[in-house]
Amino acid sequence: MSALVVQDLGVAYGSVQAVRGIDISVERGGLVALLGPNGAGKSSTLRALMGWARGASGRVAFDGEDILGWPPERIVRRGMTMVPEGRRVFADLTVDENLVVATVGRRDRATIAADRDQVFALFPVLYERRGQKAGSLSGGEQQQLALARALLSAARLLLLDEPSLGLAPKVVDTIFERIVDLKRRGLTLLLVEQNVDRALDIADHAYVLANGAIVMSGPAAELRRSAGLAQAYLGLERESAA
Amino acid sequence: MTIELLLQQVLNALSLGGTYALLALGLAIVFSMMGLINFAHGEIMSGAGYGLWFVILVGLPFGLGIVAAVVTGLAIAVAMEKIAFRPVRSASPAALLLTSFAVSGIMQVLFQNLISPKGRPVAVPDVLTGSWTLGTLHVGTIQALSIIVTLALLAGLTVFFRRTRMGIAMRAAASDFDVARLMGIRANAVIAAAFGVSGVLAGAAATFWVAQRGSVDPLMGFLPVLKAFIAVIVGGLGRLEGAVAGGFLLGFIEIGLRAFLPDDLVAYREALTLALVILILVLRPRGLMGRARESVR
Amino acid sequence: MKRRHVLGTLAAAAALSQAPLAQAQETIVIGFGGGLTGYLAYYDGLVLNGAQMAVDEINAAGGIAGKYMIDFQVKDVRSEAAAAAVAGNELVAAGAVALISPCDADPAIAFAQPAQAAQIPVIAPCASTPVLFAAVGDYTFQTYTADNLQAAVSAKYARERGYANAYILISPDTPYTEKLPLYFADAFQKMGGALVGQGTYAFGQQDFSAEVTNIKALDPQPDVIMTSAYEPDFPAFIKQLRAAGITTPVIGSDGIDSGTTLALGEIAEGVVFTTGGFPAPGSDLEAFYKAYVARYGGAIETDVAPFAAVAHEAVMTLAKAIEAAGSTEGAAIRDALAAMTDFKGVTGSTVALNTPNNVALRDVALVRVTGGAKEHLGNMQPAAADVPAP
Repeated sequence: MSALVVQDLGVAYGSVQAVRGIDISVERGGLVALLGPNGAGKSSTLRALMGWARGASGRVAFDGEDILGWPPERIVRRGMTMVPEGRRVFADLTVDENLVVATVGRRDRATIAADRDQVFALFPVLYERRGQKAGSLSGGEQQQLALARALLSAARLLLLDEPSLGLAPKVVDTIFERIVDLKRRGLTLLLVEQNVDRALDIADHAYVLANGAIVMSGPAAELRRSAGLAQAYLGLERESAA
Repeated sequence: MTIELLLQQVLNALSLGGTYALLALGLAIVFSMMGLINFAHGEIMSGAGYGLWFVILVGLPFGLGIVAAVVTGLAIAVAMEKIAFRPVRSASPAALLLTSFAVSGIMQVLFQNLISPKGRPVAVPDVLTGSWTLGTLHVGTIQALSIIVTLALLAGLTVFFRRTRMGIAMRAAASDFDVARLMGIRANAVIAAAFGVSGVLAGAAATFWVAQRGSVDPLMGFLPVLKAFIAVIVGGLGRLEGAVAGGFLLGFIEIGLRAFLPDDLVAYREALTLALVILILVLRPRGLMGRARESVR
Repeated sequence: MKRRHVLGTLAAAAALSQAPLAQAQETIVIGFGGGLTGYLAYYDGLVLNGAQMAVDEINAAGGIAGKYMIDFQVKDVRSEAAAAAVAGNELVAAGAVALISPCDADPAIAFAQPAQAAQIPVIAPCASTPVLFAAVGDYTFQTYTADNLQAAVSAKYARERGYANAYILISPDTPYTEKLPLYFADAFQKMGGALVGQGTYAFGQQDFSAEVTNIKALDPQPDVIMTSAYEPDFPAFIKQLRAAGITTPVIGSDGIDSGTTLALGEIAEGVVFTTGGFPAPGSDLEAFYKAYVARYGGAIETDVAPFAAVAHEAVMTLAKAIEAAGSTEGAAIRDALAAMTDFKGVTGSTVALNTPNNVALRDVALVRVTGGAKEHLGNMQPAAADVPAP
């Protein structure tokens, strides 16, 4: 059964059509990658799913419920959230406070403490730095905090917007390990990533977006093997750059 | 100038700066959430003053009047958000600002036509009009109370913002509103809470203001809120601690100039105050504690 | 308050339409510009009501000299100079034969300028700073107790009480709050007193702690403090002054002739101020106040002030001048006004307009706050030589 079904999604900023009627589906417990060159419409898609973009059209069903047009907090409280591009941790708040904020929408207060311990077990560095201002963390630590936050909000479906952006290769390894951990814990993930190889390594299924439309899709393993991908991708990149 | 006089002026500056700080903090909380400088904040203060006036007019004790002022401030602020600002929340900052000017103008006319264009006297009990003597220092009771209550309110708010889930959520929303919503924080609730807090602070400030001037009039809130606005800018837009610091700093600048400027320059002190403010902003363009504001827009 | 104005105007309009037109041959326009909204609303509201009463009385009696019915045209100048200039132009264009101006000096100047150009007399019944003659010209008349007149009386009173050293508190924000204490200092020094200090405040400043601390540090200490501050500055100032333990007597001016001053209680005890008139029992002014509250509601103590009576007088003065001139031509009315030496209206004071600056020489009432009520110390008309030059 699909956790997320996107049908004919369009996103327009004024007269600019950033996304032109795409269909995506994410199976429960799956990890789906959304790939494509810069400006292809990947981030716009995530924003539209999360209620961050005005001018979205089409249909977005999360666990069978049409959520397009809902305010973000309502979507979050229903169990879907996003780790935004650039981490966007609350810089003035401590690590601990960032995590407290993540639980504001939860009703099951009793289990929060246990969940918090689990999160610290998953991200030990955050436990070490729990009293520190989030703004003083390194980029990789901030990305871990952003993931931890999403996890503590008790989301079942996580949208990840460019989690490796601006991080050193070694740090990227850690982040991708954590993402795999999240999948193992039963979370459903939709990953937007520029780092195609890394993304295909961990994804079950992938869509390739260019100029706001889906140009390729299939199981990650097949796409990776397909000789056409790199070509298509590079070609598209050239085309979209032109 | 003797030590006593210097201490006296420091107390004066704390008292005045404290009132500015309360108002500036109210403005900053709302600004940090929705990017709105609420110029109708002064009318929340005036309205709270009328709450105090009314309770005393019908013969109830002054203590109840203080409660009435705070409750009226809270109620007006929350109602203002719901009626005037919620419908235009996602509009441009300029539209929000214009809305706040409109709300301010409408409320002033309402006060003028429904109550009176003239100030309404508020009798302050004699207990509050006396002074405390500490050694050679005379501290007006209202002045002393305003310092104590301001510090208590700031301490209470610090606890609220540091220790409670709602308070931490509000700080998160103040630092990045869009991402706060990704944490499940309800935009309506947190903005209403922000207005509520700003209304309570305006109500407290109104109490001191009215107790000191002895009357309420429709335009009462304009000037202090203009000063608070300057304090917010000096402190750094969007920084709550900055607003408080800016309020106290403005209090010290104003009192300092009034106390120490030679007689023939005193007439220029408002200009000098603003010149100092501009100087601070030249040296620190984002204010004392400012930083860039992020937004998805 | 505003609603009452509107009702009053409607009632007047209704009265006008039913007035006996049998003998009146002509209808003349007298224009009124006032800040019916904005910071002047309280003062100009009183002026409008007082003037309206006079207009109604004249019309009910068959018009000026039984000849001219008054069409009283009212414009709201929103307490702004720009709107006042527009209103002045409109009323001149409407063919007004004379105008009644807004209260404060700045809007009054803006309002009167078009009339001066068209040679139409303007009476300012409430603007107390004696500046219109110099700023606008010889078609302006100020009938209220002028600032320098009040200062001459309060300085004389202070010297008679034996005060030797004075401190004045001024605000450069308006001529009234700046010039009146300076006139006082001028007169006080001419009478042998000394000025030991001067403080400056800004409107609505609210906090006077720095000024009060400065007063405490003065050496020698002042025997008297004089200011023309009014609400909300005066109450804030005196509260903080008394809270600091300073018991020096305070002299104010007509701006504090209001209920707020009395509501200050113990703190205002002993404050002395000059004002345009006092409704002593049995006086003409008391009778007028009674008629005023009978028509507009409220209480004599809190809802009416000398401005209303002086406004009433202003219209009556105009009527007298038109009657004396036997004409509604501007220059003729002006000359008749400027020749007035002892007009007596509802304030009970004689009013002389044959003065160098067309500023009325008239009685100033001296009032002290005693036991939470106003005590009339008497009316005084200063000698012309004691009045500081504007």
